[in-house]
Amino acid sequence: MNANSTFDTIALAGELDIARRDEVRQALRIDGPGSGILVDFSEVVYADSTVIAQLLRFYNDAGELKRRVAVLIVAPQLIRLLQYAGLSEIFPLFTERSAALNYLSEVGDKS
Amino acid sequence: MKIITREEVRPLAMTVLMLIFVIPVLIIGLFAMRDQVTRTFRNTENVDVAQHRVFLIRTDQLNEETGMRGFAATHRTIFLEPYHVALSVIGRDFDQFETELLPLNVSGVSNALTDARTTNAVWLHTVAEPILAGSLNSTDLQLRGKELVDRFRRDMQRIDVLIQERGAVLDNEAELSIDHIGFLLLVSVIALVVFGFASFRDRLLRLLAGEKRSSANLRVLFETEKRISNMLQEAFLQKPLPTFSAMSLSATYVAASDTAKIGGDWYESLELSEGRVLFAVGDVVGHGLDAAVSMNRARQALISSAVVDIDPGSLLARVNADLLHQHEAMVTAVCGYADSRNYRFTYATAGHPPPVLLEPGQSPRFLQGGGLPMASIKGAEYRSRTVQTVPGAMLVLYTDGAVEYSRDVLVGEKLLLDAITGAAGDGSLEPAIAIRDALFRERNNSDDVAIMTIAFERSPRLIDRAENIYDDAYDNARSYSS
Repeated sequence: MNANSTFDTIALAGELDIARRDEVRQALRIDGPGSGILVDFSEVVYADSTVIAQLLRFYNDAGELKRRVAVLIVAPQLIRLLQYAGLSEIFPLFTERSAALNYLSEVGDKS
Repeated sequence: MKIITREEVRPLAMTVLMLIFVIPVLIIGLFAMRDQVTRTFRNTENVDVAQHRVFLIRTDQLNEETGMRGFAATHRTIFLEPYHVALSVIGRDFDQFETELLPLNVSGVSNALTDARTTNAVWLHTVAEPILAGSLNSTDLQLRGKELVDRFRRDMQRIDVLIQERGAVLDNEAELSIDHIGFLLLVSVIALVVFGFASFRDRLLRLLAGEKRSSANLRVLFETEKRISNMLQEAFLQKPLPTFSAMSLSATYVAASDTAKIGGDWYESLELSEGRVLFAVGDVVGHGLDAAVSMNRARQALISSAVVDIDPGSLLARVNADLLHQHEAMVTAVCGYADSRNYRFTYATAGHPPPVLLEPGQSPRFLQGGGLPMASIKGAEYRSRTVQTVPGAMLVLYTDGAVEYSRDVLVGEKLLLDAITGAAGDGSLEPAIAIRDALFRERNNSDDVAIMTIAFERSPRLIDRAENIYDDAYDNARSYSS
């Protein structure tokens, strides 16, 4: 997706809830093995439980396809929600884009 | 390949019948109609031509007689001119008349025609020729000729009438024939319409009936699901909490204001031994019957595992394995034990907002949370945490509806802490209800909310007071269920 780098980017914005479930599902679909994935949620301010469930499915898919993931989140209330959901324990969460990109490029060097 | 079902045989047979019988009839009928119309036109034309010929022959005869009368009276040959003209054409007119009469097929006409022709010949021979020869005068002409001329005219009159009658008969026949063909065509068209309708009637009726049935089924399904889900929730949530020694519990459940969002929020408590109580609050992702079923399974798994008294983290891990095995919906929960013998809370969270602890003389504070939601990741591990508290300490458990109504959970958390502080200050015997009222008196809860509190007694409790609390809790639960 991103021609200048070796990772794919999934970017969403705004409030993610059940009304946008199909859009989120489509965005979080992984078609096959490949490079690292940057989940850019820097513009996301809310995610309900259906989106949490989809992120967990995404985590499973990424693990099976051996694709590394970095999640970029900025909104404090979203960070808190993802902590509630335990996602901070499995996803590498970053509040700085550069840190997320560094992480993905390190992973790229390894593989 | 498509297999033709029994129901489809009838319309198919109808269609084949229609093709075999009705359509050929329709085609033949149309051709016959065209034929008949052509024939009718030709007959009318033939009748006109024959009548015109009758007129010509009469004119010929009149010219003969007029010429002969003039000549007989004056003996001037100039008067003979019409006679000679008529004589030169009358034979040809008779011949053509015979030809023209053939297609008309007029019965009785040939006798009259032969008689007229003979009569004319006799008149020429016995009247006209002798006058020309001078052997007859105009009086003889009048006497002898009149008889013959009258006879000729009667014959021609008769022929004219016969032709007219024949024409009328032919017209009648044509009319009848067109009527018959028209009727045949009408029947064919009606048959086409009837067959067509019969062929598709069953299908149309089936379609209509199917449509009605499926919408009725959907409505029944929807209502059934809603009723069952409501019943399950009522059964699980509106029961009064048991009372425990040295501990007081309160709980409340508020259904979402948006009925479509009524989901699987739940709370549970169980005394495992004297002074040791299992507590749990959970939330199933999704709504309706599926959510209610998942909720039920999660609670069953939790209680059956809690009986062997393992730590809360292991408890959640077991429930997670069970739910994954059953392919249930994602469930978040906080569960643990309250032990009034040492004033300790031991708990674990699974993707659930953390409990709030309120100790006497202190501000309420969030405990640590975390852990993945259950039924999502196989082998997920959950961490047990223990908090040493003091007499009078209260633990508040809730579902995300209590902090997420603004969609800014940081704002929601602050409002929850304020509500807990307020409820504690009021000294309410039902802190869960006081917290709920503080949160939602001025706000709509778009999502479900469940709140439960567990408080250690400040001092050893009296038996009669415990009974009062039980009664209050029961009344309160009843008033909320209505």
